[in-house]
Amino acid sequence: MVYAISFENYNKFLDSLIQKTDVFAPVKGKVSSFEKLKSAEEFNADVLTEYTAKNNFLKQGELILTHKEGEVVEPDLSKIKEKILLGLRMCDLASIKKHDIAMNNKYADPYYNERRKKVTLFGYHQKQCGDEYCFCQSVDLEVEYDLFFYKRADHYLVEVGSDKGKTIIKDNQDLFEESDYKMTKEDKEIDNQLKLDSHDIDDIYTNNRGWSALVKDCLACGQCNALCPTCFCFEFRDVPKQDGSVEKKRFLSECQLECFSRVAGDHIFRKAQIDRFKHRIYHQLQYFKDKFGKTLCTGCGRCIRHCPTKIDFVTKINEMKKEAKK
Amino acid sequence: MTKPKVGFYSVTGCQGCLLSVIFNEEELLGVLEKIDVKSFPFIKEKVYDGHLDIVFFEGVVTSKHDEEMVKKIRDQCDIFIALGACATTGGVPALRNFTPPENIQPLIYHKALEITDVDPSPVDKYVKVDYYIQGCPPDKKEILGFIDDLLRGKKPLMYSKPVCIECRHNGNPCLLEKGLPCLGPVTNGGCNSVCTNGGLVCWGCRGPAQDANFELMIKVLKEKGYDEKFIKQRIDAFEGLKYKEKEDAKKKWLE
Repeated sequence: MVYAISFENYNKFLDSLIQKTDVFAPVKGKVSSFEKLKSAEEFNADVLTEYTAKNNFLKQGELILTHKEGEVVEPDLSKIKEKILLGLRMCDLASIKKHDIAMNNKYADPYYNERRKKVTLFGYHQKQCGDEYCFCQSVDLEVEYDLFFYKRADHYLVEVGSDKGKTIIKDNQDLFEESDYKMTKEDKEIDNQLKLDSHDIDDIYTNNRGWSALVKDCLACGQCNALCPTCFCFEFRDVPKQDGSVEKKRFLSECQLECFSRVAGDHIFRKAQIDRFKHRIYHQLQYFKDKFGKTLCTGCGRCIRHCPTKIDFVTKINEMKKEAKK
Repeated sequence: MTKPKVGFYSVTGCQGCLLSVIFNEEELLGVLEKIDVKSFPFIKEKVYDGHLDIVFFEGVVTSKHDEEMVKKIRDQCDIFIALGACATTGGVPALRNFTPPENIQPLIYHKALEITDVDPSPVDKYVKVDYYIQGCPPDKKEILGFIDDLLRGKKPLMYSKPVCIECRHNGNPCLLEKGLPCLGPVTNGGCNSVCTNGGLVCWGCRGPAQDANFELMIKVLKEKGYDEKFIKQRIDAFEGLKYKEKEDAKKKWLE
């Protein structure tokens, strides 16, 4: 079943949502990111945001527990507020699905799951999605959403993906119209200029010349990790407080830095930048796939777009693959 | 348990790092209950002369007197912490190393003969440093964190990620991407990207990041349209000596 909503009604719909819950959507401020929406006019999904919505699930500095006078106090997770994430592109949605897998592998992560459970996901489709660095059509995009909006000339088409979504439509019946439109494959297409020929990159692991050519431009600043929608590696830090208690907090970790692979005794497993760089690419394209059957990378291209030296690993991997075939 | 004896000392510098300690207004009295402050310019009149458990040492060594002092204090203490940009990287006073001596000759005190001038250098040129607290000025919370960790018998963790990480987690636009000469990618963080949060570029006050790639940074800035002289001056402001050290080590290794 597909629904239609006019732009005018869409704004009304947003305004009514904002009054009820916290709505986070792409906002064009000094930087484009997911911010708390104050009014429907602020919503701006024309460009792919620079920052992802990752922070809503994997909160930087998440309090895990507090040690106080020999006792362990766990934080009250029920205090986490319900929220709606609006305007998620396919790559952002897919990254959430991939986090669901990673964070529930063997041991479920209660902090992530609680935040995830309380978020309603609204997808947003635009055929001309990003820019020359997007390559989402070359990787695995499997998504889960509550509602999905497709932009048309004067209205949005809305697909329902869950019971939660169905209830939202029901609650706002007067704004949505039922449509007999059948969604086709073309409707869901996204244009990409960049294409990764293959993400089976096992055979080029030893191509040192190729990888070195990429790494020589690496500043080791770790921005690719920080901006990646899927990079989920984390570390714990104990933060002492003046009252004698200690807070254990979780921070995201960056595999491009030396401290990532430093272990007790100050041994460092990946000393050379090339090893760290390869680890990032192989985790995104190979290791995760070996384990869970799909690539971790969602092809949003942020790690290339916002890299200070614009390291384009996609084109280079294509080159290396061609070389390997010869 | 006896309170650890702590000393704060200062040689050539602006004393801003010591002010950073005092600026912890809310927590300071609580901290003073736990430690026995034996020496602190501004607060204590007399300089303590005896054994100390922890020493925070601020300033850059610019004279024979400074050199003697840092060596003496090091001998008197168990844990020696270099506090602030001057003590860790040489900071702004060390800029003198990058100008020909005749430029500064007229500025040196000739009349005060007891001052014997040496090349300004961070304290680790003369003594072994256990921990570094970087920054100009250092983060006031970081200093308290060090004291807290040491009181618990824990090894303090020195922050070792570039400024870019915190800057990105604070949701800032990339200043380098905008074409500004930001040294964030090659500078050690831990400052919570305080400058870039306010739209100011990073000058590198916390010294080079662990994997600082200066050659590439210079190339990137050149591509943005900055000339060699400008870039060199920018890097020299805080990171010049450490950069030179790295270059010399590399040359030695290549030989």
